Amino acid sequence: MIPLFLLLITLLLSSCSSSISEPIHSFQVQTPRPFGYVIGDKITQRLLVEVRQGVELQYSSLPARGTINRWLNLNKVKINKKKASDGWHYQIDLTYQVFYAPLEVKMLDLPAFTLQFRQFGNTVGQEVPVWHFTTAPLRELAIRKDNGIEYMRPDQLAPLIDNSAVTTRLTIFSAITSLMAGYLAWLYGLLSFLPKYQIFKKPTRQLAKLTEGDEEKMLAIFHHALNRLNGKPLFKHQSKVFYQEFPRYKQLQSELDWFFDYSNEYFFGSHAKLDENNSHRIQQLSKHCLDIERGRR
Amino acid sequence: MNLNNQLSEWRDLALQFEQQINDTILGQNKAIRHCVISVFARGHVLLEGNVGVGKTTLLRALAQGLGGDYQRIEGTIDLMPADLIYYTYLDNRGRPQVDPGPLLKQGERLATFFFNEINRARPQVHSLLLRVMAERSVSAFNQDYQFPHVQVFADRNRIEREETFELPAAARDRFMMEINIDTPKDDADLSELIFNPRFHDVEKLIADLTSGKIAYYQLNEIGKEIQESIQPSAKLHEYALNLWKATQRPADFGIILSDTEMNQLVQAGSSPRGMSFLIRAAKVNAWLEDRTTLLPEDLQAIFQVTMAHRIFLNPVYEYRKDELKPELITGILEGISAP
Repeated sequence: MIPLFLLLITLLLSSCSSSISEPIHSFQVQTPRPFGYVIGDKITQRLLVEVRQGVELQYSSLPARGTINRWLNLNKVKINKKKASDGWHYQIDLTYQVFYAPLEVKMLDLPAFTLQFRQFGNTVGQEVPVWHFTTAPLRELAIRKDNGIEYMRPDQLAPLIDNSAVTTRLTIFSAITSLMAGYLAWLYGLLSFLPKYQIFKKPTRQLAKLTEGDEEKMLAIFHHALNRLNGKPLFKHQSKVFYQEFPRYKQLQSELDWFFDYSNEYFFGSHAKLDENNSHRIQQLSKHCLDIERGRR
Repeated sequence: MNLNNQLSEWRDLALQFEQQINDTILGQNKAIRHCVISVFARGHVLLEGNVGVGKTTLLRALAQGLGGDYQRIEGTIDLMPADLIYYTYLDNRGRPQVDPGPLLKQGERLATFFFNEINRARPQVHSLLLRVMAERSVSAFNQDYQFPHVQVFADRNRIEREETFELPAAARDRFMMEINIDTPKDDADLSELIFNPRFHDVEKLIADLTSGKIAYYQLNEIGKEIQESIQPSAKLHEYALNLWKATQRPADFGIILSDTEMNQLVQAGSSPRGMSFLIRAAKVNAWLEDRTTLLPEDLQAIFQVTMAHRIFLNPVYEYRKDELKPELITGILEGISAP
């Protein structure tokens, strides 16, 4: 009976001593997919470790940031330490970058190393196993030139910034500005190339060449110009309506009245002859009309 | 007294005559000016307008102002030509009598003949009137009767068309002018016509007019003197000819009316008689304006009233004549320059 009791005690103590003495409760390595990598890709290896109270991670046991070998670089080491229910929980993220340019699909590996923990002056190690993955070539290796066309295509152009809204606004405001400028130019009589501003140009030039011998021609030329301006034949008795329509010509009322009286007398009355003074008067009248037409008067 | 002074004196009387009619008939200055022109141009006048706008009053005022004998007849559907020449009745002794009718009653002294509602009379009556207007004579009782001073004024309303007879083109062409009388536009005139009792008693209004300042028997002579005193220039001849041609072929002068085939618009333009009336009336206009020069504006002033009833549109456009005729007249006046 006594030996059996001792055996039970021994078994119980041995089971308790094993759980109490284990410094690392759990250890887990999380890795991404083990294939499909090309030169320049980054691979993050995550280590999850739970240790007993009083067990400290030796940070120096982690691989140093920088070049691991000629084709592998450790870019970043991130350690997150949290309190666990019975000890500490470590999350260690190791970000590697591959610089291997394989000529065919090739298996590579992240090297193994040992994580070290310190406990009451003793050191406990936890092996991080090697992790295998495959890399593939990034570009074609066989030379293919079909019909002289390079297999390699040029880089895609950078996408243009969408400026259609700005262009539309620019077009609209340009159109509005042009219209307003045109209207102002019309209002101030600057569009001298328009037929509207050419009515007295030619008659004034023609009248300048005529003398007192060409009475009928002079009168007819100026009548024709006035008719063009009015849009229909203009007679003296319609002058009131004419001045309402073309108020700027009212300043020439006395001269225009004289012209109509003279014309009536010439064509329908006693056929009076123009003297030099009168022919000069018609020429001046035409010039004044031209000045009004061009906004100079 | 030389001729110029005499014409000047007659003009003063004519303007006084016009003024007193303007004082009697409000808001019709233009129509009255046209009537005065027709008196001195010795032309007959047809007035057209709505009911109650003063057509008959205007004609009565004209007759009263001119003086001389006048007769008036109302157009009815049963009126026959003989009714204008004589009428029969039994005298107080029971014997049948034949007396001269309205036309013959005053003989040569007849100065003004009114024909009210002329479109209600039959074509037979129009025919008689046509001779009176054209020849100023009529045949009756185996002899010709002359009316050297007669001027016919007729009126018709444009509202009623039932039981009326359209005047034939020949009769219309005898009228120198066809004048439209519209309701006055000015509010002051309308207010005066409505509220001033002076305009309510037409008989008294007409009787108040001074009569006979211009002797009716002198009108032919005055008219002749006016016509001879004003000689149109060659340029005006050209202008008048162009106006005439434009009444016949407006398309040749670049006259375009909307929705109208201009080559087919006019069936017949003005007659030579119509153009002579135009010039006669234009000369009187110049005389009233105290001018001895006939100007385009004189022709323009009476173009509408002397020409509109002489232009006959193609039947296709006849239903639009109220719209097209004024447009055509305006188009002609605005399409022809002088020089």
